[in-house]
Amino acid sequence: MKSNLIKIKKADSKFLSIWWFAVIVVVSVGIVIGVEIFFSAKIDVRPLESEILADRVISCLNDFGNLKFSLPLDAKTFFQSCYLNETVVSKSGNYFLKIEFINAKNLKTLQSFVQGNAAFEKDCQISSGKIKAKSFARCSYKDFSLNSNGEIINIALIAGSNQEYRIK
Amino acid sequence: MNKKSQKIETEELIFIILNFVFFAILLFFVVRSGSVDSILEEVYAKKIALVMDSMKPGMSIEVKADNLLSQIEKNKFTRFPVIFENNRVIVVTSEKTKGYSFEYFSEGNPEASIDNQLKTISVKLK
Repeated sequence: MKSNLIKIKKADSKFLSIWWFAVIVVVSVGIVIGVEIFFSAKIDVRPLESEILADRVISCLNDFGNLKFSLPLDAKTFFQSCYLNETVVSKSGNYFLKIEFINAKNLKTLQSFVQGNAAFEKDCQISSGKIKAKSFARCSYKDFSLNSNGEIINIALIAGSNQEYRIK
Repeated sequence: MNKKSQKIETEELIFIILNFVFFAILLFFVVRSGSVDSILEEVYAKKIALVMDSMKPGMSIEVKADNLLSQIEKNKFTRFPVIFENNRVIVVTSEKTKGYSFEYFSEGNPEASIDNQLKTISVKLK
């Protein structure tokens, strides 16, 4: 009787060891795949970048509630006084900036200042909706008002970024 | 009987030790994956670039970089790990890697210095 029990136990342990081995293999493969997927994913800073760009533009345009520049806004003056690199923002193709100056009284657009990759405007509309296209730019939308020569000007700002990564 | 129970105990002990070894290997793999050079380079290049994005000339910001600086020490990498080139931040942690570069949009001349005691990277924009 005792010897039978020992036999069963031995068979059990062999049976268990095969299953245990299978469990170990499945768990380790799962963890390796999970870790690889997690760490190979790109760190997406595009929403942050677009937010920073928008904040930089707002703090540059705003001079204690007054519009710092006279309209129409000149690109060179704007980039120089905002300490933004014109080549990077306008020509690298990774950024987009649109500032619309609208007269608050008659809602007439005074100027639409567009710099950078203009295709991002549509991309952002798509990516901010239900469809999350991974490779599309991410944008930050800001609306605010400033005084300019006694008139209130509504400003609609869109700042976008699609810089994912660069390897040297 | 004593010998048999002793044998079973030894088997169980080996089984438990092997389990511990297995989970230790897995834990080591997970920890090592999170601190490989390429990941640290990407993380710090993006961190520094975002800091640069929000800076205006005359500003100086310190970035905490414990992991990066310890890894550089571990790799015995003697070159300066943060390079600024054509409005890009390049972070390199060892001789083996090419480094990771990320663009920033602020205008100005950047400068970086390392404080090994505080384990920080100080970024200045002139």
